[in-house]
Amino acid sequence: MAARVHVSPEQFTLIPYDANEIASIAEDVAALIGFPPNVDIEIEVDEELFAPLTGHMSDVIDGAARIWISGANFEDKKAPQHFSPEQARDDLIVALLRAKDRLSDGFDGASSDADITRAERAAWDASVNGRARELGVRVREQALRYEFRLQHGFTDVGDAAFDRLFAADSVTWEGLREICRETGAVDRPASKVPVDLLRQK
Amino acid sequence: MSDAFKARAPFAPWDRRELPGLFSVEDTARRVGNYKWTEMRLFEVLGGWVATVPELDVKLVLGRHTYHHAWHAELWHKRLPELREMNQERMTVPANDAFVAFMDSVRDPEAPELTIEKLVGVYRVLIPRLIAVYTYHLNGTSTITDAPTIRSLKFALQDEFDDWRDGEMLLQSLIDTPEKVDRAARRQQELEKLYIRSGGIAGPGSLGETAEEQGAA
Amino acid sequence: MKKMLPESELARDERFVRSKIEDRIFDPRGPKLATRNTGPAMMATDRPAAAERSRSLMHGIFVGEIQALEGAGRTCFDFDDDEAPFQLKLDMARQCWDESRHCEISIKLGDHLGTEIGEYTESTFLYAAACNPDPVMRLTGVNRALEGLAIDVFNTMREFGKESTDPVLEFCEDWMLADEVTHVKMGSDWLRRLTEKDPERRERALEFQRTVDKIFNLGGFRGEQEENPVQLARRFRELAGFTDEENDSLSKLAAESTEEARQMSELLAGNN
Repeated sequence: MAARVHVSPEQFTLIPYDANEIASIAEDVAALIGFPPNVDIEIEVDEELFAPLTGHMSDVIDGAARIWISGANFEDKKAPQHFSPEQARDDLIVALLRAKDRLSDGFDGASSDADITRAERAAWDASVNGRARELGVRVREQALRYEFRLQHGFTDVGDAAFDRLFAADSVTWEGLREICRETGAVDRPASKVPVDLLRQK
Repeated sequence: MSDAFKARAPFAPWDRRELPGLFSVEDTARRVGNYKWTEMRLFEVLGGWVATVPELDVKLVLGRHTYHHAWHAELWHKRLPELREMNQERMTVPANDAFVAFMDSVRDPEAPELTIEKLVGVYRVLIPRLIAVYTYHLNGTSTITDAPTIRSLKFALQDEFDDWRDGEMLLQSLIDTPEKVDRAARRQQELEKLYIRSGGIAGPGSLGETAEEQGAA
Repeated sequence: MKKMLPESELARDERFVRSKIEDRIFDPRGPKLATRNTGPAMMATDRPAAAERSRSLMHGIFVGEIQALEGAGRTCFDFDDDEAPFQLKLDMARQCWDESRHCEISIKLGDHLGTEIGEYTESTFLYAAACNPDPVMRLTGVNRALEGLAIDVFNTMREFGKESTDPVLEFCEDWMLADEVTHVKMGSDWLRRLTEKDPERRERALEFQRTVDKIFNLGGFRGEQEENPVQLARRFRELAGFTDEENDSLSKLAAESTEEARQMSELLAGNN
């Protein structure tokens, strides 16, 4: 049976990451979260990026999950340039949960990660991480809350919305957009910086 | 004639301050000089230890207390010229060589494993004695003629009590095994023996006449 | 306890991991990344990885505060009465309290941002500047160069607090900024007083300050151009006693460092 997880680059040249190790972790993660077995997973790691330039994107294109992720996400913060399997596992769970969301009916018509707003993304991340915590991921709630506040404001309304998202068992694209209307994030000026800037070379 | 011009006693009925005091101007200047010297050596070593203690809470408390003792040294520094001692450096001296030996020993620990020894020296030996000697001075000095010293003593004592409590609580949280209890006790004994050899922060008579003197009287 | 505690002996608990600046400089990813557009250097909510960058910088500020506390503390201890005036030591003791408070504030801000003590590595080259055996050099390097940098950093973070409508960050940074202005003034005052009759010593101290300033401009970290993450806070520097001429000179030095960093990146990228 052909492997359904493909990691690029196959050979890392700047940092000692192992594509096979990443693929193996992704296989385990896919099984853990119940990722549809008939959907291929392509993971592109950008090895030029390092901490604190973290970020990842999850899209579904031509029936396959396409994950782009910064090398910084897999980096051991206490040992720069070194791979952290624990960190990789946690971040892949979150990235694949978002891809799984995209495969669900609730995300029909959702914008691609390059076109999503920062506020929509922060709301989605709050929801996905809440679910990831149930799967044993070491989620730092306050860090997520801060990311959410940066895009939705430091307000009681925003905090209450975050709490609901973090506790929710599931979420829909329309639900995320409703949250953005509720917190007033939709009225904020559009970002001057492309949301997928780190991905652009 | 309005009541405002009616003769009143210069001291209100509740003001019980009296002229007599235990210390002359010279005695006071000598003691204040000893206090300044001690507070200086204390703030210097607290500052120096900050970099040598790995415990973050201890590090931050030492940083705060460094300033408290520097401020006390400054209070005493400013009091000296008011006590006819224009050359402040001349009076900024330890009570005697034995007291120098005691302070050297308090300041000696350096290794990062010796936080208990550092804190015991300051918070279980030196600061309780600063509290004692300041309290003795406060209780014994003329409440009228030496009011400025009293004011400084009260400010310093407030800090000493607060700092003693901070240090004692840090020690109680660090001393969590019977072995550490022994370590702390050994250190305290060692320093107290050195301290009594000096007679105290202001030398013999730091807390009044010595037992020997009282016997001779 | 010995005088002059080397950087290698700074005491830390098990959470802290020390890094060497060379590791970052010689990281093979650096030159590659330098040729890419990773967004505006200045802190902003629409900057890529804004939260993570903010947390990383806050942790850097926190460990910097610990080292500033340790440096001020050592200045109280390292010099005998004839080497450093009593009043200078009093100022350093006051700075100990301020830095201790800044550590407390930074820890609370770290909690607010969602980071943890020891999450990122610590580089101790800030403390290294506080190890100079001449008190004038030390005060100039620490209180004018490093505390001057702190003015720039806190002002940058305060502005980010405003832009992101984060009341906690803006409030705390504003308070710390006020303290830093005081510390720089202390450095300027002591430099003037201690070298009043020794212009050569003053020049040596200012040269040391320029060296430290240059180190902290490294890679275009600080400057007045858009590509500098930390902006020179001219108004607060003036309050702290820096003259226009000194600020212009630092700005020029920062621009040179930024250009050097750019050239170095291009060179290294070409070699890879």
